[in-house]
Amino acid sequence: MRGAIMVATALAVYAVCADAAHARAIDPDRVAKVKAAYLFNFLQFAEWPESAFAGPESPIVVCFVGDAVSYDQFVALVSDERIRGRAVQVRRTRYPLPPSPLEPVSPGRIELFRSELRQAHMMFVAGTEHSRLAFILDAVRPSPTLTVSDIGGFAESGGMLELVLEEGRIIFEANPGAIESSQVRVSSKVLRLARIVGRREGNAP
Amino acid sequence: MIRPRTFRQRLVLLMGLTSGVAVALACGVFVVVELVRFRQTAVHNMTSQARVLAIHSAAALSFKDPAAAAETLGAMRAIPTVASVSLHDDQGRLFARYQATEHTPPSFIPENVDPRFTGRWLVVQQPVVHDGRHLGALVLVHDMEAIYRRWLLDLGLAFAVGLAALVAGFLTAIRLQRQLAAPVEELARVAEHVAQTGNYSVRAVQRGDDELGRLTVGVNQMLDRIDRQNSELQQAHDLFQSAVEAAPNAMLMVDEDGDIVLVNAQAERLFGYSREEMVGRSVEMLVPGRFKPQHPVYREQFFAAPAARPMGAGRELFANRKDGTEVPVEIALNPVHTRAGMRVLSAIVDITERKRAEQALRRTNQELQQRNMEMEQFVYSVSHDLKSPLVTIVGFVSVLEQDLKSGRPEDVQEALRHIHLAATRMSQLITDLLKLTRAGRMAAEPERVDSGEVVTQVFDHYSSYVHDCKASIHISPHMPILLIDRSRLMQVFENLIGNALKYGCTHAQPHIRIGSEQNGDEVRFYVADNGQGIDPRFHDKVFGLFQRLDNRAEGTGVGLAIVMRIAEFYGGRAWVESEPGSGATFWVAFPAAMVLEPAESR
Repeated sequence: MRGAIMVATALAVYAVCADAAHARAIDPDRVAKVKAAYLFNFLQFAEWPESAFAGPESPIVVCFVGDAVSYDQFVALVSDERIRGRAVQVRRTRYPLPPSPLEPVSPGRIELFRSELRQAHMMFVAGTEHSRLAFILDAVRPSPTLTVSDIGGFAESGGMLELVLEEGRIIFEANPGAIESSQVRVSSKVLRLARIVGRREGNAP
Repeated sequence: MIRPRTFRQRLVLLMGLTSGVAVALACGVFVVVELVRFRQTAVHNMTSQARVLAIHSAAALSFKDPAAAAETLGAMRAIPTVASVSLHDDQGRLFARYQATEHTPPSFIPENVDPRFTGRWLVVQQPVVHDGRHLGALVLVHDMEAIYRRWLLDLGLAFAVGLAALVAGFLTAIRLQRQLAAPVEELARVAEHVAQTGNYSVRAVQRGDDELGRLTVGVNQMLDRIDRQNSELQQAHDLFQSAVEAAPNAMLMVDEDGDIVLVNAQAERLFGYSREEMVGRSVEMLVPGRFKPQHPVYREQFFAAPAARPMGAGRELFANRKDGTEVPVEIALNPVHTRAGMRVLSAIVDITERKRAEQALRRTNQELQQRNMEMEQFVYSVSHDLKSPLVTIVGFVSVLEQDLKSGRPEDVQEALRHIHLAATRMSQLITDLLKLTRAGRMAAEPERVDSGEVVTQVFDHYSSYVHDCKASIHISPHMPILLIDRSRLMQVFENLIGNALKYGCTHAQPHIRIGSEQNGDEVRFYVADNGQGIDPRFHDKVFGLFQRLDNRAEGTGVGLAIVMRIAEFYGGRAWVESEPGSGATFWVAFPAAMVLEPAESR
């Protein structure tokens, strides 16, 4: 099963690369697949402190914030996978909407959303959450949460890893300062592959 | 390969080869170990490198970043002996590659294989795994040529060292072998000398106090002992030999098979066989044919119950000589126990002389008895013959007394004549008896006597008698000269010729022949007449005392007894050849040794 997924991922990457090279035609579906694969790879090359887990069997919690296209793909990818012995639990959330345009969002719901974010080991912020990005990043700052997004300037503005579509292929940028200030450890092997941005620590907005 | 011939060569080869083999083995082991170690080190190093590369390649492989991977692989530039590194994805497809050589290194093998050497290459294949996920494989090819070159240098060095050690070993061996080989050669030389010459007096020179030195001492002591024992043995043997040789008797030693094993000089003399002819042959060769079948049985009986005893148990024993004659012997048997088994030593005495002495004694005894008889007869005869003239005298004396009383003078005359005749006869008888006793006693010194001259003298003495009976006499002109007592020879012929005249004259034309002949070891004289002859029944008797065949004949009957006694005194004999009516020939023989000049030479 895992082999099949890997094959699928690889094929997807290959397809994307091939497309990028030849036609520059970007199939959104394939991009979503590649992004899911990248997220999965990030999980593999990241480490969390033991305190981030309730127990040795506790799953790695991945939280999709907003409406991410690659959600389904990712869920499919990790459904049977275990990383360092842990299962991957995928959740979705979004910034709470007011009950009506006239009513403000209750502070309790905002707090609930914040705690949902803090429980995640990796968080993918979809483009839909662009306006609430500062809040979201601020919400997870003290918790060991690897923050990933494909929102442009994410890494520059205090995010850890940013997926960038460039010349038909997906690369990623990393903000070592942001990573180092959190309790998550991202393998240097991954960082070596990344384009480094935001050298200064606390390059947050 | 030269086969070592001498102990020296063996030693040199042994020591040289031993050191050479040891050094070669050490060098070989060193070289092999070195190769293995080189390879192990290379495998270890390259595996480590491959592992590091794999770890560093994992992310690049995961994120499909060949450029990053190629950069990682390119780090191998720091190790010039790394020929190439290639990264393959989980499908085996080439993902990234670093190559430093123009050679084509071995390619990737999908199976997960251990490090392998192919030709000059060491290929290390390292799977790229991250978190249990198989991401691909890394193939690192290491060029071993430089290492092999260094190893070849080691090999050459080891070979050179080994060769040098071998040469040094042989040189040392050549020097050392003298110390070992010299005493051994000395021993070998002594042993050969002893074996060839049987001379146990040589000794090996001792060199050093090691085992070889002790061996030399031991050999010398052994030689001493053998030498001493040999001489003791020789002495004992000589003693035995000389004892056997010095024995006055013939001695034979016989083994259980009846074969002669030893003889002495006396035995050679007795049997006439030489030592070589007897030793080794069966003792039955010395047993006369008629005893041969029984002899082995007696022999086995002796060996069954061996004890010193005389042989034959009362039987008369004879031995067979080489010339076929038999010797009467007496044999004493002695069992001798030797290491080789039972032997019987027999001492053999030639009893020929004793037998002869016994026979001589027996003969003397018989003669004595004969003499005794003769003496009795003599005494009887003398008494009788002396008595008869006495009786005549006594008778005629009484006749004479009566005639004197009657006074017839012619009768007195007659009686006196008878008395005179009887007295004369008695006197003659006594004279003859005296002659007879003298004939048996020691004679005078023998002298050169011409027998023909003696015969002529005797006839001179009897000349009137010859004339009276008109006898014709023929004396052989060839008569020998003897060494004898003249008077004895005279007596012989007086009696023989007197006898011939007395009995021969009965013939009308008496003829008497006298001569001699030499026959073998005796010289014989004969006196032949042509008288009435003598019946063969009386041929022996005529030589007896007082044996007168014809009582009418004159004589005392002592003459022929005297002839016989004189002949016997000189070791000769006397006999008669005669047939009644054809005369008689009387013979007297003396040993030829008494002849000074034979008849033929004269």
